[in-house]
Amino acid sequence: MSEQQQTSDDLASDEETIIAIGKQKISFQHVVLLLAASLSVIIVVLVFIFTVLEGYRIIPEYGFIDFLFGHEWDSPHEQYGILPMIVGTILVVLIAAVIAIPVGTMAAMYLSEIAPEIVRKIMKPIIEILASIPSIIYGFIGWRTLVLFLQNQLGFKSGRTAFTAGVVLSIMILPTIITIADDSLKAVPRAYREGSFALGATNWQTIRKVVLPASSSGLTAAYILGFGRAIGETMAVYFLAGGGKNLQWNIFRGVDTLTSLILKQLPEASIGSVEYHAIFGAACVLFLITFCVNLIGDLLIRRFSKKFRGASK
Amino acid sequence: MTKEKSDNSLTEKDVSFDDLPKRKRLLNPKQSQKIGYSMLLSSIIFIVIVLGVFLGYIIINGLKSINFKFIFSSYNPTVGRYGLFPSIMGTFLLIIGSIAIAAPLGLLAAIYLTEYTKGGIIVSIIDQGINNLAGVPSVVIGVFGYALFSVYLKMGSSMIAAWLTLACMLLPTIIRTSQEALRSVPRTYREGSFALGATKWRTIRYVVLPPALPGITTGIILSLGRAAGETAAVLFVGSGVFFNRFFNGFSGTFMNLPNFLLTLYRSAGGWEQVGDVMWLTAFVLILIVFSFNAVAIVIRNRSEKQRGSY
Repeated sequence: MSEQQQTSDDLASDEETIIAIGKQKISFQHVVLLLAASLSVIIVVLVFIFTVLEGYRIIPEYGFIDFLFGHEWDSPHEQYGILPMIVGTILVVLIAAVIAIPVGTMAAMYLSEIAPEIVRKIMKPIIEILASIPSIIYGFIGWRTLVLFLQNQLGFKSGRTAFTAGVVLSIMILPTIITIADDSLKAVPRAYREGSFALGATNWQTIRKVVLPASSSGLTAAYILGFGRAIGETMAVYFLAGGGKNLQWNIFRGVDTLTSLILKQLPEASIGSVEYHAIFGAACVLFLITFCVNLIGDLLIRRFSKKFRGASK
Repeated sequence: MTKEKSDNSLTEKDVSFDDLPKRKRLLNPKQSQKIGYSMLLSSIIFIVIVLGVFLGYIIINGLKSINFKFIFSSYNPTVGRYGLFPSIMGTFLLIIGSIAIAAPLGLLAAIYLTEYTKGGIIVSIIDQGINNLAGVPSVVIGVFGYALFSVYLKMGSSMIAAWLTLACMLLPTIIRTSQEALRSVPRTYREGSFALGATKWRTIRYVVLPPALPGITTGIILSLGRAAGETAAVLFVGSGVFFNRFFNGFSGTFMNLPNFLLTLYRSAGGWEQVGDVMWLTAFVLILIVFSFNAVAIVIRNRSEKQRGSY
């Protein structure tokens, strides 16, 4: 990897001399390409600007503390506190994490450490399929299976709970967790394992006591990026979490998350109303949360990939 | 693994190894390895079973409710006509338009990042920006598209606003897959071209792009699949419901399959009335998404085989 980087750098510096000859044309292409590449950054900045531009008005109109820590969202009574939705998001994500972290880690351990080639070959497309199923389909199937099971078999009044949404969400974030965890386990240099084998450790002891600790920051990144995905998940949560805009911590009751709140309320709010601004405020909060979560995940990955850069594979 | 299983003498040797931490073990390393392995394997089996149940459920119910009258007619619940055709058509128009915007921009960005840069602060900012854009929740992209395209730029609820919004969402995937495809072209290709006196742009155009094309196409097709299933991002910017028609024009609202499913879910008719249509909608949507994925996987495998000859 680093070697390849080096040589492509050399190529680029060779090119500098060519640029000096045909300056006009090449620099034009360079500018166009740079603009196209910067577009992603521009969009992210625009997303932030537009959510803030409409969302900040909730602060003078309703109050910062009341908005962020208000215990109730009630449009007819003009209550726009988003704390219940933040708690709802936390509940759903925690349940998803409790399931997805052990299952995802174990699956990644199996795939990277002990699976025969044929199993890897079969599982790769399976995980890709899992990732490619649209979230509304997850919501729909979750409704027809889990929600109805809770209602008919377990006697729940409503099967739409934070728990239901969390369970289905855990499956949705598995591909993210498995892929990144698999990469980080594979990044641990062979010398580590060989050292452990040389001390007489079994393969299992090596995986548990050497490979897992060595890849811990990569695994953490996998979990964090999985969280990021879960926090932003909308349609499945809309189908499965029911709804509850009052503050409560019971996982077997309906909750709203930040995403489902936006989905439900935005079409009903008239442009420029207090509720409209409150929804954009919620979108802004959601954007900032996922932005930070993803940033932390990326930083961890970067640090992790630096860790073994010098080591020979 | 099988080799280790066959020699049992190891367990006795392990006793001395065991003494080292001065701690009693419940299981000897051999047994714990066995248990550990089966735990790991069970997680894989769990995933396969979950996927199997998921797909089995949707395919069985979808096939059971298949009905060509539904598929090829328009939608009007007041006369009990729940046609899928406007939604299917809208879905295809939506994804083709948004890819037509996102693919060229994404490819140019990928060319810049792999061929033109030497690293440095600007590139790392762009890199981070792509990662962060990929992480923006689709509902936030939807809210943003609504505020920027529908309200601020006065496009209203239209196919065009939806194209632009969806393109923003697809950009990171296309950039990443194209980058990967470009990187996989051997360095020697570029060096050979430079040695012949070709300029950078010519090298990219005639030497680097052709072998990278299968990889780039794979990324584009995967994005098509993702776009087809996207609900929240286009819900506020033009995805709507209309009766008795197939298409509302490019500056009007459009129907798409995910939103159709959502509409049926919310509809007052209840499960008895629309259950079959919902299964069928979900089935057709899954079918579209999977066909794109299958095509992408076939292209990828074929190009991987060719790459073996490099």
